[in-house]
Amino acid sequence: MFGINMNPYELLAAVFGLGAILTYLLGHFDRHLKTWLTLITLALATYIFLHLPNEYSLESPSLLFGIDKLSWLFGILTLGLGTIVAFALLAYPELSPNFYFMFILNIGASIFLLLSRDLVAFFLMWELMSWTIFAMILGDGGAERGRAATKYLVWSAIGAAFILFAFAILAKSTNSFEWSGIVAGISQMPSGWRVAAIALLIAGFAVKAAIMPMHTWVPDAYAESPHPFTAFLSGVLSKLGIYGIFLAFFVLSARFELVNMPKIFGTHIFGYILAWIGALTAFGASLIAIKQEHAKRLLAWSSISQLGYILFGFGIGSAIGIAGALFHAVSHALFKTLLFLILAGVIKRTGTDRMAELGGLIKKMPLSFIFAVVGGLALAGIPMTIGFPSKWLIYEAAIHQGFIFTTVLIFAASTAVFLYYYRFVFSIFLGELHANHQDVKEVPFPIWFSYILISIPIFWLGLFPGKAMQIFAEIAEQFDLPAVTNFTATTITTPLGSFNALIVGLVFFASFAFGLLLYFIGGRTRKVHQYDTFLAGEADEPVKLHYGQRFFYFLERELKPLYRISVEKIYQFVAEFTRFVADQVRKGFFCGNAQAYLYYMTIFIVILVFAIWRIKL
Amino acid sequence: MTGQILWAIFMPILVIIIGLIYMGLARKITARIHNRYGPPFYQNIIDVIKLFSKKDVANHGVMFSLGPVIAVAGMVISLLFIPIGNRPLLSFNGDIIVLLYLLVIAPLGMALGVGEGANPNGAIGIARALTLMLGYEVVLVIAAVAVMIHAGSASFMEIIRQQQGGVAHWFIWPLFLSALATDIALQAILGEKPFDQPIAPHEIASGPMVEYGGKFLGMLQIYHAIAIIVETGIFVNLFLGGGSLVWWFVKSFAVFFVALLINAVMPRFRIGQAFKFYWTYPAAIGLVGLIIVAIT
Amino acid sequence: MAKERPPKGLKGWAQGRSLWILQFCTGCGAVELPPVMTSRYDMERFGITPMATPRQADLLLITGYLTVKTLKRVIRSYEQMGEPKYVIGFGSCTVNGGMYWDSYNTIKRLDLYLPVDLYIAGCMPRPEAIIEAFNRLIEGIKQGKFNGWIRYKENLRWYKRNQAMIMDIRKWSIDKKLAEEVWREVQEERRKIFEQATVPHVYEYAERISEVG
Repeated sequence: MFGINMNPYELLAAVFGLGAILTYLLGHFDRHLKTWLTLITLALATYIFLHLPNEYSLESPSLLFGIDKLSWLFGILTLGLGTIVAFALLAYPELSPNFYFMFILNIGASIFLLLSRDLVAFFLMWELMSWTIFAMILGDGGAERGRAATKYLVWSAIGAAFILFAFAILAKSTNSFEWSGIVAGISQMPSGWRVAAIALLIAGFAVKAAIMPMHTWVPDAYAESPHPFTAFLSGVLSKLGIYGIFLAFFVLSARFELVNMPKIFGTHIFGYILAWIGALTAFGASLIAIKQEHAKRLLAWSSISQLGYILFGFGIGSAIGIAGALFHAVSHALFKTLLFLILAGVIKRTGTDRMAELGGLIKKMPLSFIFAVVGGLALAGIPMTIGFPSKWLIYEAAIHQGFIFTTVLIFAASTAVFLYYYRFVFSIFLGELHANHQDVKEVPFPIWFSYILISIPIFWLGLFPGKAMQIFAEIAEQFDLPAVTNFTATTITTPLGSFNALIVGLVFFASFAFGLLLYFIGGRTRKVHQYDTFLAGEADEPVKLHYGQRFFYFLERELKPLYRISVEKIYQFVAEFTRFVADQVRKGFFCGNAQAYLYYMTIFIVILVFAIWRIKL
Repeated sequence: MTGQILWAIFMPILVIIIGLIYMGLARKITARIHNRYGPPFYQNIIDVIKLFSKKDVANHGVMFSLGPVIAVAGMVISLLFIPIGNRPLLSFNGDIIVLLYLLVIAPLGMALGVGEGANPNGAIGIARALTLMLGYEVVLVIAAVAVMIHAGSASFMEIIRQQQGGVAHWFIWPLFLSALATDIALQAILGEKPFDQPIAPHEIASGPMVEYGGKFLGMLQIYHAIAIIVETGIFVNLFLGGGSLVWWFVKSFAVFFVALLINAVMPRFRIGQAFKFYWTYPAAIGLVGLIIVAIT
Repeated sequence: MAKERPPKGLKGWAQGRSLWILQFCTGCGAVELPPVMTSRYDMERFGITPMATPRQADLLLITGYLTVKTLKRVIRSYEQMGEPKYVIGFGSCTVNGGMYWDSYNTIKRLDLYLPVDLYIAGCMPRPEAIIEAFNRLIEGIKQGKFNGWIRYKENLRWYKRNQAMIMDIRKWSIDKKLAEEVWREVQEERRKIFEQATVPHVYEYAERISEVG
């Protein structure tokens, strides 16, 4: 390739490395050059990624890489959405070259994470990915960003520690650092260690996948990170956690057959616990999303909720459940990237994401509104968009498997989606235009063009879900998992029922034509000014009447008992307790008394001598 | 095939007329309960003709005028997905869950339209409607899951097929608690008192409809007419065994009639109370029913 | 453009059989409406229903005297209604001021400001009279007799001028451009009068205003 005698894997690494360094160095000279360099890097990387051979191993240090269908799927998501986000970055020349450096490194680390086939490479890439995220959240600093970044870092470290510990258990018990060796050797492991390793892995990955109760860093990190990057953080990087959970859950534990625990409703208790955690995450987070006053936090909680769906699908563990969860991972990546990009555009133009201060932007930013609706339809799971088949599969799987309570929770969560989605789109785009925003303009070309790019797969996979199902079936086949096979390009059939996406789409357009017909039958209309509303005869110019603050106040009042439950309080308590104990220890040991220090030295020397004596023996 | 297409075109019009007559009868029956004479049963058809003939209707923008269009379109597509009188049209292409999501298109489109109207009353109405929806949707889903588990299928046709063979086979008997919960949920889905907070003419000036007049309001009347048939139709198909065309409408009117009687004598809950109500008693009834189904 | 005419035929019939009212509950007339609505007289027999907003209504009921403050809101509400629209004035207050004939703060003749289609005489009219008025209105609408909104549109400048005499129409009118224009005209006129004012002049003008308002 390119006349260079290099393995494509090495080339890929070189492209990312060189791209990052060049972007960083040359980025200081021109405001736009850094984004174009990022785009070129990502385009090259995508090209190489699509032509990777199956296996590659590095001699020293001995690392193993490879590509399969699952890595391909997540890799395409990462690179595709990364490129789109990078394209939108054209409108943000004010971001520093450091950010671009970290951004390229982050995508590179994510790609090599997906390609890694042994524990060392996996963990290295995981850490690189986590640290670059930290750098991007921190950005140029500031108290709030620093707090959010620190919170992220602490959680990330905890997650990494879990993963490292689990890897240590796995490597020790199976004497192998390669995934294939571990998968082969895991059945000989003692049952307790096996469960512990898998549980630790899932806990570790759940931090990145923002599963409750490891979610507390998410709202802060999402709110404080650079606005276009939040799209990538929520859309793609959270999916890497999902990828990890998939590995731990299905590849390592071979669909829990190896975990000797009883079954409930035909599902393994391990999966059952995960399903409950997922459903509670989905439910709780969506209820919290309803009461947010800042749009970014609202979408952040919405992300947590949707990721709960994916975990729920994994927990069900049946063929439909796995396909639904993977499908939802794809659809969440698409629509949440879109929504966060729209929000980034709105913040760029108005400078705020506080919903009470926005409103009426449909008149000024009609394109953004249209795509906010598209993204919202997918988020709410309206048929014809990608959001529906994924949710539908999860519901069908849950009902078919007899997960009755969790199904109800999941349904309640998806009803709550309508609440916070409407709040999002109403408070920003509908209602009264704020006086400060009378001359706001539409977002610049790179941003709205990126909306279009993301919307194409949203509709295409919404109308032809079979195309995605094909990939999921191949993934399932690859890992010996049960696969949904009963589908065509437009129809998916489950034991419970069937769904023909294309027919729904076509019939909707026929119905829409009927509605339009009614519209044209009726008499003429008169365009009225925005302030010409019915207010019991009052004229409203001097008053601000945008219904943006505490949108669901009456609901919040009723849900107060639920809102009181918070894991953050427990963490606060733990932190306080730790601080107290550490304080006591500090006071006890570093007392400032020379005699005491002398005692410590003596004890230390005694221990040292004893140790040396022991080793000599 | 030709017959099916003709029926697909004819049926929505039939349903619109029947739905409007339902609404007229509702006014008549309510009037009789209030010891009044009441309007003729075809009053709502006259209303719709009048509304469509009105001119110079206020229009706040493109989304504002698309709102009622999407509302009608969303209801028509939902209508095509439920079998009416043993005549399935598209029911093979989607099941109950598909229908539950198709049913949302209409209110969502309308909500977006109302939003552009920039009237705070409309927004409050939508916020109330969504809150109420969070309340009753849970109850409805609990009941629907019970039916799906009981029937082992989520397809309407399969559920209706299992209820064939007389009154004794109707799902209302084995799933009585679920049917009861659904009926309570139906009260809010139909927007009848005591759950008409989203509209509440005395508090928020008819809520979502506040800026809509003329043909837009006419379209919303048509939307409501179809919605009554669809929503009562779901109950008929799930619990009362479908039936031939005439029987189907008789059953659906019977379901509507029950809601109407409650409506005629009830005041209105505060919205918070309504939400709390749905998440307590009907949800509890539904859950008991669901557990019974899951165990047996 | 062809001259606009009131609806006839099916449209007129439907319009007559389905009158949705917007009540402007000023004065004492409002209390006569509950009996008209409830079981004794039941106006819903004729398809007449109260509506919440002017957007939905066809018929504006002015139930009694109007202060200048209320008139502003009434005009705005009237202008927000879709066509065809009708106005009924209740009681003698809307005809000639009634018992408020010498009040400084109420208007005397409603039809200087809004095109009234039908008056109901009396102080206050009884429900029977109101039902009778509704029936007349329905019959008239079916035959295309009532054309208040057309008169209002055709003589908009005249109405606006009258309104401008007593209130700031710039805020309360829907058609801001015309309102601005008329308002400036009226102010100019007023300024001229006061410029060359002698005391009798001002009295004369004040009298003219009180005739109008």
